[in-house]
Amino acid sequence: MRILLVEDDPILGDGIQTGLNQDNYNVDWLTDGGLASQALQTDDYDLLLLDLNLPVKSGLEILKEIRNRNDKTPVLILTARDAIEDRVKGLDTGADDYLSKPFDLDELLARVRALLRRSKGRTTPTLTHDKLELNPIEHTITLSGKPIDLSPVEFNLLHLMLEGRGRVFPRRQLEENLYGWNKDVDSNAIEVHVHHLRKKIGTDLIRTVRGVGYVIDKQDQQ
Amino acid sequence: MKSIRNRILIWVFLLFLIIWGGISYATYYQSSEQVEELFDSELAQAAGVLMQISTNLNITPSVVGPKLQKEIYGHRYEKKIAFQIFQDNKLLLQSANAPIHIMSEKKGFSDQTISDKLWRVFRIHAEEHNKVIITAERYDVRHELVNQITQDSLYPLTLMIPILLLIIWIGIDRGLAPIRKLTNQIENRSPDNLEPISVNFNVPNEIKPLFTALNRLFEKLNNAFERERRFTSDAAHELQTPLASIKTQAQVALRSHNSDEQQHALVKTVEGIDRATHMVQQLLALARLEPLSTLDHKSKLELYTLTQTLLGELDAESHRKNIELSLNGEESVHIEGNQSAIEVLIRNVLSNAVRYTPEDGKVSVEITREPGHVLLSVTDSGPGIPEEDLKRVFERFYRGQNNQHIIGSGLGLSIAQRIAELHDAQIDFLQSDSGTGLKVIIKFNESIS
Repeated sequence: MRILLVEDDPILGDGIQTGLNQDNYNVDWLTDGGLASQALQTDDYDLLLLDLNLPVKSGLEILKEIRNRNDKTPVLILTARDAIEDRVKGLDTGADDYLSKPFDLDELLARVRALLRRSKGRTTPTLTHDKLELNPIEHTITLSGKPIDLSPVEFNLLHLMLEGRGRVFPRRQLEENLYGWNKDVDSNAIEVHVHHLRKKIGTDLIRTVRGVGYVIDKQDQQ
Repeated sequence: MKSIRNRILIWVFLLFLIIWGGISYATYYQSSEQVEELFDSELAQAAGVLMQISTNLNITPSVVGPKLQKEIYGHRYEKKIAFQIFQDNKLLLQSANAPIHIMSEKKGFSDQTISDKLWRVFRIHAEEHNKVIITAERYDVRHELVNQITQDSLYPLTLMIPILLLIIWIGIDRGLAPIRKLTNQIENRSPDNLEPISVNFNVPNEIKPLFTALNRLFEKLNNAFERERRFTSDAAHELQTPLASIKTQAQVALRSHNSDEQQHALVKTVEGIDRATHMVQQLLALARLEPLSTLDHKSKLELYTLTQTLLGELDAESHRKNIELSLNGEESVHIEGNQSAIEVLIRNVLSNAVRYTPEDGKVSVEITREPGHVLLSVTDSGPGIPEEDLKRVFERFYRGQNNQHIIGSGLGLSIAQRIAELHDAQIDFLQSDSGTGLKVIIKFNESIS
């Protein structure tokens, strides 16, 4: 899952990024509203964590921009302004949730999970596919009830593709989603991870679409 | 004298007494004059009548009245009226209350004291009969009469005093009604209501200044309260973010199983606490300066040496960033101020300059003189402040854009500004002459030795 964090405070931004990384989210962190606005136009994110009081461009302006172009990325506002009218204004402008500072990291992570789940159209916390069950809170995967050991990247890859079942993921998009812009990625990294996943959960789950990318097909009953 | 009503009453009463006294005196004076004249003419007339009678009747010398008879008076004033008739220097006839010797040797009217009483005496001398007629009257009678007349005329006036005082009392009461209403309004308002007073009556001219002054005071108080409220709320908000960062980093450390990550989070936690501490210290400094109207312990300060010492404190940081510091200008100018406050002011401005100047930059300080003033200019080669933000620099918690990596509370300049105000000094922010960077000018009053 790829998250954009926009927070101008250096210590808080660092903390949130590390905290999200601990739960295997891939986080891009920007400290000013102008850069965030550009990033949101060029890249796809699963979630936006937005501070309101930002240099160059305020959080509310950014929020207005993305909602105006019908971008449905879930947005969680993080702010020190906690008056009711501020919350109302934030939510009415198009935010999905609102958390005031100082907050509890566990609560932030829970809200992130809930927003991601809802944006993928699910209400239950776990993802099931055939005999496969993925629990995004506990980061566990079971196949016919038996736990399977996956690396964080493999887990994220499977999580992403299960959330977007039926959709073909181009390799470049998977790379961006899994690594963001910050890390050097081997050109065949995704292929290697898909190969490992197929070994652990079976070869027929992830289908290669030649020249495009990979897809997990929807089950017939869905 | 605390009561306006009593004060007015006493003055009116005094005035009344003066008028009353004046009227009494005038009445007494006038009536006594008229009574004198009337009585004098009566004396003269009586003397004339006696002359006529004594001439026509041939009386042998004798004494009339109590000398022969008992004292019988037809009127209560009568015993105080006396007469004597002499012929050929022998007493022919006299009233009982007259003395044996002649009452007056003077012709016409005269005042004589006879057995301790003052008498008004009239004497005529008929040459042809060698007869002297004297009529006399005790002054008591006249005085009594004059007193009576005066008293009678003052009686209604005296009766008026209580009525007049009552009317004045009521009048004052009516007059003071607007003040009472105003008082009620102020008394009945809740302590947090600092709106201007509005009344449903016409404010009399006399209390209009009070009314206006009160409303102005309310406005000032309201502004001060509003400022306090905003300050507290701003301060609380500004502390939310440092607290959030500390909490988040601490929780990251708690959750982490990786010792490098833990170490990093703990270092950041301490950094966050340092920052919050700094902010609280600055807030306290500002809160301490805020209510003062002037600073105590002012002394004469030599600006050059003072600035030199403060620049010395910044040596380590500027050396680390390879920033060139320079100090030029007048070496023996003095200002007057509280030394520790002036140090905070100059330190804040200098450390801002060093903090916002990038590596290999320059910060130059210059001390110049203008008639009556000393100017301390600090020019840096930092990013400067955009024109539109220049007026916001003194706002609490304002921090320049794109400076978020620089740790600061955003309060330093508010504090500097407050100290400058307390010293009648002025701080101006300008674009530096070279185009980039900021020039800060502090204008002090020169202290002349």
